Amino acid sequence: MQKSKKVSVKVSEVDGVTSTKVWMFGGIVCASLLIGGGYLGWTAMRQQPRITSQTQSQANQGNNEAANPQRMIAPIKPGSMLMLSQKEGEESQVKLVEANLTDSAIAPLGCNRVYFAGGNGLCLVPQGGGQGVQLMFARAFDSNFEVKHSFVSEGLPSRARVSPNGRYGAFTSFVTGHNYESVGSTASTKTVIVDLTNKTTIGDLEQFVVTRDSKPFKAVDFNFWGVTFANDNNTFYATLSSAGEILLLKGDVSSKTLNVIGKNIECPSLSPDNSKIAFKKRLKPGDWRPAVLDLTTMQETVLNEQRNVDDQIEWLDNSRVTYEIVDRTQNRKHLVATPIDGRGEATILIQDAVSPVVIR
Amino acid sequence: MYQIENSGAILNTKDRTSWLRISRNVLFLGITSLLTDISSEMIATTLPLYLAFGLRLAPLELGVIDGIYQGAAALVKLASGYVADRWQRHKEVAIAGYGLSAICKLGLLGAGASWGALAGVTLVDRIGKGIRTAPRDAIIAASTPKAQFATAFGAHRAMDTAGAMLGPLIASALLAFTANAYDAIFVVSFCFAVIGLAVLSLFVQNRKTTDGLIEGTPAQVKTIAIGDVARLLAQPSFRSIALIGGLFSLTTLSDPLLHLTFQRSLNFGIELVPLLFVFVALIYMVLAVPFGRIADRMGRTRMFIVGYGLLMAAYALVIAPVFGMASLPIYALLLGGYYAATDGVLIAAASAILPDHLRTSGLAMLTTFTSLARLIASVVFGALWGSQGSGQAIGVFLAGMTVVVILAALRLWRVDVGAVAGGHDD
Repeated sequence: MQKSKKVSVKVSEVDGVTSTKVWMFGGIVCASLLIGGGYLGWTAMRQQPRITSQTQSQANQGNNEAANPQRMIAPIKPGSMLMLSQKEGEESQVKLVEANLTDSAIAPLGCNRVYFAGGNGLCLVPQGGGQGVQLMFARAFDSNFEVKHSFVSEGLPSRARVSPNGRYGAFTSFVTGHNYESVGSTASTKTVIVDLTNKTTIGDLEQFVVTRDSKPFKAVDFNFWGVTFANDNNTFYATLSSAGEILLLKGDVSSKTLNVIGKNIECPSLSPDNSKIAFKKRLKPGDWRPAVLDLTTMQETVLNEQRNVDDQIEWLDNSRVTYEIVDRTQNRKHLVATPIDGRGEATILIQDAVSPVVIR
Repeated sequence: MYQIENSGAILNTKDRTSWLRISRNVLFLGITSLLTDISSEMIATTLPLYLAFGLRLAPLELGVIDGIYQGAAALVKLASGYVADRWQRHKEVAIAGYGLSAICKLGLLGAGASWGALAGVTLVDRIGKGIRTAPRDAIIAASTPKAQFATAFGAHRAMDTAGAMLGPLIASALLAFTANAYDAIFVVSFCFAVIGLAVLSLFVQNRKTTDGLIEGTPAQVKTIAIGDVARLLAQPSFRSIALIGGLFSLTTLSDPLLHLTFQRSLNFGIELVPLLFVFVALIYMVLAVPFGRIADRMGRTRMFIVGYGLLMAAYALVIAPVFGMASLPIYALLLGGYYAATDGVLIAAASAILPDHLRTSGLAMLTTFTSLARLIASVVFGALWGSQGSGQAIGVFLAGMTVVVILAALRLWRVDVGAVAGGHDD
């Protein structure tokens, strides 16, 4: 290899871009287009049946209800349940289950978390954004699954609730990207209350005035989550964490105030008669059990559940609750029903579903 | 953008595409980066949705992936730089890096909901990125006369940024078209990566000898020891650049942090944040070549310092958005200008100073410093934000950057000028 500089320049020019290489490149491009295009085509074909059945179910709503109870998905009626399916092929689709718990139908709406009350629903959808900023939509929908408005927020969807009359909605998201973005050990939460009737944002709970023992309470490490609305459609409960403490808050939408009323009550959920709060009790970080607090006696009952429960619990009636449990061995998630007396065992309510909503 | 009018232009051109005055290697590496960035940004856009939606993994588990692996990638970077220099195999090492990342796109398909497998795929992807960057930049430098380094890197970064802009758009369009079929996105992303890899393997040449720039003779090549790489830091001008580059990174916030802080201080709709990314990238893309050209004339280290001046102005605007909503475009201009003046320019400045036979190792060392410093900056900013609030946190960073700018002006203002003059000699 004792070529002079000049010779090697010539060599490099000659075999820089040869026609063989151009042909090879053409071949690779064609193969890639074929694979990519083919896969997209196959995806479209694969999805065809599902999309058709959905359109049919919508089309059949009016005229063929009796013959096809499965297809009666709208309007959403009291007594039924909404949830997000985890079945293969219908992941994250809203599923409506009739009161008999056997008839069900898939609605034309996909969400990461769903809630519905008083004729209004919230469907949380993560919405890209890219480069470390995650956006999400909180879609407000009506009893026909029609999206009426989309609120934009940041983070990944976590919890959603609607006040019993359907007026107010609240949603919580995980925001990673603010603080220890690259280290990622700590995520903060963001909770926003919106007015679903007027389609306006009432505010981030961070903007509400917090008091503790009648004194103003404020810190930069405040994190709010897990709103639950009372039957007066103005009072709500929520969780606040600060300086390692988990605090129970009682809030007021109209005056935008929050008051610390308890400790270690996380992700509250008010019973239909508003006499109790179901919550997740932290045994150790990342390990929770469902529990119920009686608001009149302040008595706490841990439910007969041995598995970790990381969910905002939903009440089936005044004596039973439902929440998601994870079957780690099969990587499936189910909804279970558990009596609140602390003795009755959890039984499977609906397989392969999360984010339960009982329509009242 | 840098399109070729017809394929004959590639075939017949003498090595340098005269209309842009960048070499064919730079053009092809730019195309490779464009395609690879489309591929990886498609995944970056889709992955959070896939994990949260498709697999329903808890968001907390999401964040943990990234940080840990950046450290691993830094180590691999140093090793790949050394290997590329030691055996003068820049192209092959770069191919290994791009290839690993391409395979990872398919790996996501195979990983399913297994947390361990997903973490593994992400790690390998990071390693691929760590491997390829320094050898690629060394090829750019070896294919360009010293007097045009910043222009060449500017052209490359412009194409790279174009890919980063297109990727999320393509991903969003496909998500809508395929009704959230994440697997289809991974396959399409893989195809883009493969075409990018093909451009690199077939059309980029390992040792460009156009201007007789590679001085490392086979005899020299064999004598490279790890100690030689370490001794690069004894060279005053490279040490200054590495030190100042590291210190600047220590006071530099990641874009998401800065955008979100700005969103809060100016109080504009959060939905504008993704648009902000696009506009900053667009401005960066447009300014990269002209700023590179100016840098080649007036001195790259000077341009680099000016760039940080622009970033300081952007920080000041975040703290006090005095122009109301007009602050938004001004902010995007400042930030885009900052990128155009610093990103490729720093590598150009360092490339001009580093000896040819140790260039890849030197560049790997430099970018390891800067990325580790950025990691520290993120953590420090997080702590400051938590204890002081965002305004004060940026204020601290701005103050730190002011000190570094002064230091840089003292140490670097003249460094690169000599190197350019030296470059003209041969």
